[in-house]
Amino acid sequence: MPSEPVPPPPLRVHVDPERAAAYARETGYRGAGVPFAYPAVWLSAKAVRDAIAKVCEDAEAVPVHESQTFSYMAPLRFDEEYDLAVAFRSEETPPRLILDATVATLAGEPIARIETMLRIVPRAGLAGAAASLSGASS
Amino acid sequence: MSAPALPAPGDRLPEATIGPFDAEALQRYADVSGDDNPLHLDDDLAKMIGLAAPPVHGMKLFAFFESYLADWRPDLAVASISGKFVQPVLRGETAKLSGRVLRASPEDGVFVRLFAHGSARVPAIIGEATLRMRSGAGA
Repeated sequence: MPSEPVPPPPLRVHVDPERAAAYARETGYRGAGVPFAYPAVWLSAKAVRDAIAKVCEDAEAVPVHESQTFSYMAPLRFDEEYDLAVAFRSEETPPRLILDATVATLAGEPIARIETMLRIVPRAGLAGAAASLSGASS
Repeated sequence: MSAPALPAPGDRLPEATIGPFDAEALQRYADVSGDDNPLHLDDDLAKMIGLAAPPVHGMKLFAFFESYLADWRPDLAVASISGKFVQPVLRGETAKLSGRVLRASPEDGVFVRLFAHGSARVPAIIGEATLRMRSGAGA
């Protein structure tokens, strides 16, 4: 089973209007709000990436993005700050690392839950896993 | 004015095609998202694992479902959405989006099964979304 990294402390994140607009352009979003998948940019924060990288380094493996879920209780707002808390859990068969993230206002009001499931694929088996690498993301 | 009717179970969403996405588009997505995994950007690395070209970021494709759903029913808003990444869509390929309503009720919202197909028979992404009437849209 992959090790479970120590979760980073809650991250203070921000809906940057320019970055949100760029994200919308690259994902075909034409609405007036913040794209629902925009928090993906927060999950690429160094603290999160480093934690995933450590698990993969220990397992001599690479992360393959297997599934993604966003559930919203309220919409994100441009130029607002939020607290992003990330917890990790692992599964043994097959090896997976799952990120459970919550987005909350600075007053603690829950806004969104995000689940990111990563398959931990041994480097030696990577070529054989290529057929299912659609979301092979770091 | 009467509220818009909810879709019915079995209703199919009109198909839509996205892409193809070139290397510049993948680089732009990497830059804005922070997902700079070289697999999506490096031809040689993709070939090393048996892919003819770098795969499009799964999240980039997945995010297109939001506009796809909004084009179908702008009066409904996405409350939750999930996707399982099954097969790669490679740089230079298009993807076909499709969907079908599985359940719909005023209380629980509209539950839609979603698919993104690349060139393979197997879907690239299998998704599901729960939609709710936007406030002010009635129902």
